[in-house]
Amino acid sequence: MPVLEVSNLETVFATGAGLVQAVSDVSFTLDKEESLGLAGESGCGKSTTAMSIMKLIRPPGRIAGGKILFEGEDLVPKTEAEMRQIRGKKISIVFQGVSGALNPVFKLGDQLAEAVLNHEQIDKDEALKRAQGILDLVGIDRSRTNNYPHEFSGGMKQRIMIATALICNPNVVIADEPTTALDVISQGQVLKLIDDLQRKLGLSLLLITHDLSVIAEVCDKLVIMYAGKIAEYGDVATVLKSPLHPYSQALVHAFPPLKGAKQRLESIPGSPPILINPPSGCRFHPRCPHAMDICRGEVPRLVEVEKGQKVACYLHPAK
Amino acid sequence: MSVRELKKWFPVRTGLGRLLAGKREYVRAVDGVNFEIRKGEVFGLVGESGCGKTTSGRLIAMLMAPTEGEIYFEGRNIASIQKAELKELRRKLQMVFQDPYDYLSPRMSVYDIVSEPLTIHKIVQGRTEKEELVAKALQSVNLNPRENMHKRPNELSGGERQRVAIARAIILQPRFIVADEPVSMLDVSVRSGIMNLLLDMKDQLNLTYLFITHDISAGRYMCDRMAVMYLALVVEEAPTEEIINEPLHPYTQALIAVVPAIDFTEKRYLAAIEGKVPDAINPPPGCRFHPRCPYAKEICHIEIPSLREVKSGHYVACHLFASK
Amino acid sequence: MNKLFNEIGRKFKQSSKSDKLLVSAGLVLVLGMILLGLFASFVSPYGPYEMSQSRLSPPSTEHLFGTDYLGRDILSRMAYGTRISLLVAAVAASVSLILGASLGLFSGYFGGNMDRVIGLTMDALYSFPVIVLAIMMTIMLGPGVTSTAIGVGIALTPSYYRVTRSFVLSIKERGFIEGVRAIGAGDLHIMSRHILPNALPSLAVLASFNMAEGIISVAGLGFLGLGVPQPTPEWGADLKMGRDVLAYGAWWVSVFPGLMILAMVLGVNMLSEGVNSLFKLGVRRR
Repeated sequence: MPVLEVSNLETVFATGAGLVQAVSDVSFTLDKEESLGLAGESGCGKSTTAMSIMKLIRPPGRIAGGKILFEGEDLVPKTEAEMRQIRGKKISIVFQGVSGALNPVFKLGDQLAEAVLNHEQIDKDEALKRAQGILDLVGIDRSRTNNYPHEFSGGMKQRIMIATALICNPNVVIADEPTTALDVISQGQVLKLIDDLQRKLGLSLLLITHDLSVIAEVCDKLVIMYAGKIAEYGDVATVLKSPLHPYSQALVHAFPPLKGAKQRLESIPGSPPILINPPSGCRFHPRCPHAMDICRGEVPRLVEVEKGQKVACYLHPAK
Repeated sequence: MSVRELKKWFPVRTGLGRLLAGKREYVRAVDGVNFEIRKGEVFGLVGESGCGKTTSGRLIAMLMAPTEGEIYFEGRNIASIQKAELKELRRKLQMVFQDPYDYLSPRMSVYDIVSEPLTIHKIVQGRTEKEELVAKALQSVNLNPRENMHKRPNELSGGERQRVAIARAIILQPRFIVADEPVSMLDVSVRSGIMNLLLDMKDQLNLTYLFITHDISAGRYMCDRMAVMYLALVVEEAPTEEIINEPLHPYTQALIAVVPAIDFTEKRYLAAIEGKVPDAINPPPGCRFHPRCPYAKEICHIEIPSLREVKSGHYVACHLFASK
Repeated sequence: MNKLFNEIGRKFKQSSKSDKLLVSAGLVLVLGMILLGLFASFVSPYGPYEMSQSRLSPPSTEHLFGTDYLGRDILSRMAYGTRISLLVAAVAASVSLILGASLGLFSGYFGGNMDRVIGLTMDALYSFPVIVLAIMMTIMLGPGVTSTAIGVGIALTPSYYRVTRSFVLSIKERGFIEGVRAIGAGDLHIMSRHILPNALPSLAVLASFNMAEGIISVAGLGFLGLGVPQPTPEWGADLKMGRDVLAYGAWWVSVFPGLMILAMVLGVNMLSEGVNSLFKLGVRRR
């Protein structure tokens, strides 16, 4: 049984100008100890999907439909109190933009301990020991539990965020742009750490980022989102080597290769649509070089085209 | 364009006591940088944040005065020119910035923004002539003049704003453009459009670029030659393909080995070296990379290696290549 | 220009009920006052200096607001007094706006020692109540409309200085300023074309707040016997006169000047508050 199964998720935001259909009919599964990358550009709905899974969507947003099965149980109908038992303990999230998440007036050890104490009935000393243990795991000297957040560098703060997410031994970790603000070498260090922890602790990872090159190295499977919907879904190597959806193709070919053959990069004219009144049918059709009449009509469904590779595009009918 | 021993030190706020004791501290953002940019080439300045590449770009674009050093542009040392000459110089030397959201005046129309250089330098007088030149500039950046001239920046997407910024930079027909991370704040599918635009314009308008970036893959796409910076100094300079395929400096090697790229699916991050960049106020003695360098020798702790030509056109600042 | 009105109209429609009420009420009062001042000669049945035999007579059909101790029609004096108040307030506002904004602009833009010196001077000025400064000016320059105006003007300068300076500081480091410098703009160009126009809305609101302050100051000076000399019709001076005759039961001599002051100040304040809130300018009053 997959540890996380999202089916036909719909998340909307009610704004003064209309209803924003931020996430529309999104379905994917995350197996145990697997890494899934959720990729797309700004406004595609990937972060909203993550927040929906954590049930962190607040009014004027709400989950309007679909199921989120975590270890078989649907999270959508769960109450806030029930979700608090799950967040941080069973499913954790690591955010981008680390500095805001740590309280500057509390010592590191206390903050980590608090993260545990929120979920488990152990005493303070035990919690502090766990904090030290997790710091070992993320490569920060355990004596630094007495330091304050401002005494750590950006890369270290990111590790602290990871430590906080892991201290209760969750099964699933969602990482939203965990390395975007970091330098290349710090990024490498953090990714190495995530890889290490994933293996040691048997974690399942949902990695959200616009950077396909990071997903290329870290993830097993890849979901490419566009305008709130899934364009393509499959095995990382396959999707990157032979993307099928015109958007995926353009996106993959927009990344400059480091050593491979140098070709003129592709770019996509126009901008992603505003999701209050998305284009009819396939949301990519206004920008698609292969758009046909049918693309304007009905929304293409996500169908399996090859083993393990799904596309939502009329150019690729089901097998 | 060439740069000799360029330095920029920013004074750090020091308490009165230390000031009196003569212990003034500086952030040594750029600490003796040398390189040459040939006409018609795209020269890349690559490095991680804090290495001094952005400050170097600002110095070359004469937005800051250097603490020391010389900047030669078309044979003249422009590092110490006066205000009036500086204004004249701006017609030939322009800059495109990183943030398309912050760098355009929010209350001005596209026409106002792009025509402002014409107004400042009193190039043409009448509105019609100005409009013509603005329209031409907008066309060069693939923006429809009629549709866009009267829009304000908040009505444009990030990519479109960056195009407006580029149009403004080229309207005076400059020779040299400093592009400071012009695409890092844009979506990936928009970046490629801007990069292609810059390359096309280089040929059409006879431009030379200094392209500053932390993204090596983007650097490879754009640049003919690259200089890699680490903590305020250039550690390696060579034609792009050589930097990518045969990096000589240990830092460059570490960088190339770990940078993720779309053409790789193996776990390159496993090669990540330890440690972080030391602070620029008190850099390590000798070679600044020595604390993290797997090949550090005795001499590396003591002497700063100078940039030497190790192969034709390939310069490295490393004691491993001391004797040629 | 059209765009500006459209934007104002649009903001107005979108604003809350209380804001709309404020702005409308304020506008009515202020416009009313301005019209009264402009058409004072039409509204007034008599001249403001015209004395008559009916001294200290209560409001009647002949003298709607009654007469003062010299038999002068109070209604007429009120109407002409509007001109004085408006005139002085306007001159004071202009003086302080131009002086304060320029100093703030240069001070904030160039910084350094000049900034510190000017800042200290402004802080010193700021710590004086407007009335005290105005009195000092009047004493130094001699009584009269001009010195009152200048005195109030100087007293109000620091608030413009502060607003402009903080505005300049917040904008100075923004990217687009550096962008414009990169195309060759000099300091003067940047200040006049980029910084000042953005500061104008806030300055305009501050100006209207200060108008109220100016009007009160002028009235206050008049009340103290300083400022505008006799027999010029001025609300504050007339209020003082009224106080003297209050013992005789002549309430009308003081009530009407008081009402005029109240109406004017209220109107200007409401308008300023309304506009401030409407455009979310966040200007804090002096």
